[in-house]
Amino acid sequence: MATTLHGMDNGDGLALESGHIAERQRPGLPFSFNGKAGEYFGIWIVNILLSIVTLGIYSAWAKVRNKRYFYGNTNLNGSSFAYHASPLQILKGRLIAFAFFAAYAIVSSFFPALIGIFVIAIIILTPWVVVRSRAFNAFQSSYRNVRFGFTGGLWEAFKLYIVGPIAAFLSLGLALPYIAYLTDRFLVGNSSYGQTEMSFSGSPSAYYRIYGIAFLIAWPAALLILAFSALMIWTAIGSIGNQGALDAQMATLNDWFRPYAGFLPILLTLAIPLAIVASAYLTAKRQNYLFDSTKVGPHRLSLNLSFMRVLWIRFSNLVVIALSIGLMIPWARIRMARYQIEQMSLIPAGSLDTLVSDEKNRTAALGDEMGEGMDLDLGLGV
Amino acid sequence: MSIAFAGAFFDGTSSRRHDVQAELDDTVSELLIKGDDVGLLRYPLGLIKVAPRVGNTPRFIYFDGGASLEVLDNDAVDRLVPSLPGGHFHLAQYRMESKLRWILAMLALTITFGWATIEYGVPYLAKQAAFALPREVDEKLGDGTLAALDEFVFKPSTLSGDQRATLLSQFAGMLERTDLEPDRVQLVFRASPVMGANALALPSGIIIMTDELVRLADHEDEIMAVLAHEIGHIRHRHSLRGVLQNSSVALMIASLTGDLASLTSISAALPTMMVQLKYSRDFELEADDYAVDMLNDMGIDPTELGDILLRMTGQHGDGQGIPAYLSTHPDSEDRMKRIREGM
Repeated sequence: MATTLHGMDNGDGLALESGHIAERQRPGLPFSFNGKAGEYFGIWIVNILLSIVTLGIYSAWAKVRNKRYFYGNTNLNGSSFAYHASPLQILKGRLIAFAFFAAYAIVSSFFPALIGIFVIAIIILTPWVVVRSRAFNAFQSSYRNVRFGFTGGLWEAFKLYIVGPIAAFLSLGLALPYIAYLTDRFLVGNSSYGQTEMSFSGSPSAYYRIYGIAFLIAWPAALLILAFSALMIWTAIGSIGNQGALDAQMATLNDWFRPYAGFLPILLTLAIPLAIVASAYLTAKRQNYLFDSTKVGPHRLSLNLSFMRVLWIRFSNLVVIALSIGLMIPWARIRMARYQIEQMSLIPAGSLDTLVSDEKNRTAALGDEMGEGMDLDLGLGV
Repeated sequence: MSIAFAGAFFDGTSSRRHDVQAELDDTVSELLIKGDDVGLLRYPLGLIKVAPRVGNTPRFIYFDGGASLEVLDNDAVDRLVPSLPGGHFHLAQYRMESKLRWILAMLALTITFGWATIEYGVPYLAKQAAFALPREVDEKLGDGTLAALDEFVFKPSTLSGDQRATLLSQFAGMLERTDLEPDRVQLVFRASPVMGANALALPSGIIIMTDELVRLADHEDEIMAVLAHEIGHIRHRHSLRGVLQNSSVALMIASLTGDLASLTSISAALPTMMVQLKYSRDFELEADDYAVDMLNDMGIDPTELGDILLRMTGQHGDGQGIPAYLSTHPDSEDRMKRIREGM
């Protein structure tokens, strides 16, 4: 599960029975997660091995089993979530995406003059991929046999995912919180659970506050990383893609590093931890705000991630994964997912037994597997 | 044998949950669903789809018409599955994923396979691919590199015309002993206070030698030894193979460690870098082997290569403080030892 609650965040509105709510300490109905690291390890290792020996073909099956494990173990009010995509749909999307990127690799290496075609193609495709993969994932997710839906428009996606980054860059990052706000509003506001529309009531000022604090934490790190990258680019320039030039790079690194020898430890001991802290802060606060601002019809969602706890889980996961040469990845994923999911709850307003499914979600999702495959979700779900 | 289990029935039109009992009928042709609100429903087994088991997550049974049944008792559903068309394969994945001996076997196979892929598979395939491509591909790769290096790292050589002529003619003599086309390799001279004594081979076939290297060498045989090593890089097409190997390894590792979000960058970048450095060291050794053969062929003592390598790295401070597995080049002492053993 991604830290952004991907995989769940399109899907999280729900229906439930209205009884027994008054007795609970926290308002609303909590989500629970029943995944177990040992059990997941088996799924994970089989996914990896079969993906390798089938040269990636099995990765489509792997992705489905992975998603189904996390969805199926996510429980709300006695019912679990379901993921319906068939591996063949995923495989089809991936093959198309693979062909596209292979063509890109060939063209960029041997016909650099034609690269402009791909740049244009990517600019056109990106909004389409975002919208289609979102719609695909939403439609393939269900709770109580009612499917989710997403109907965001291409033009708005173009503004957010193509114009947005350019605006963020030109404004030196000042527009970034506003774009984050618009993105969340776009993703949530166009989602639905059956016929029940989701709505987003967040405000830009909250995003500016959250991003502002993250920036206050991160700015020394940002400065150091920028300076260090500039140095590295300067020393390594002209040695791209050359074995012979690696000699040059090595020599220059050795010779030129000495004056900056003190730099690397500072970078490692200060900048990277600061970046990790800032990113944990951003994740926790932005996700909390996003969920707290989301409604499914009249019913509210709530998320209560603690920044320190997210930081601790991420940091210790990283250490444990490194020390176990990756074998503890299943444990780390389960641990992160459990914390994130169990901090979620749904606060019902009135009867929740009558949310109606929507047939038009079904037709809207045709052909979406192509978008899903092109989604730059490199993790093959293994 | 009777198969019966409890479940939550959803008709597919609303979120309303109906608690029901499901039971396989005596003729093993229908699944019967009984509940207070739904009465008695009969579904022919041929129209039922059961989701394959994943761990112990709730099992979904899908009925014709869009209704579904969510069942916690996975074992009961497993007993039902063999009665369904094509049902025998439903549990194949689950069995592999849940039996300890399968998991251990998969783990051992993954480690072996992963190691073999990195050690032999990727280098072998990259080599086949590289030699199947025309030399223009290598040349394209190094396009403009010399110009960039001239801009940032190199100054014009200060070697005298005589010195150059001697070195060029010796170099030409060495090239005749190779199976390379005569115009494939070209030697150029540059000065580089920044790089010090060094030589590098660009994929385009240009070998650059620094004045500092010429000054560091005790005699011309040592210079020829270094040049033989650089010809080895070009002959074995290390640049192109490096690009192919490094990109496939990066893709493989990113695929396996992906999905961890913020951890991905660090947890994928480090192992990728270490494998790529290993490939770089392997190329150095292959170029050393090429040089040793060449020097033997020319009647030059191959330890000349080791001698000058030791002096070059002494000057660079190569390896000082950098562990071998984090370096682009193997340790010079080890290379010297290897050259001696190879004689």
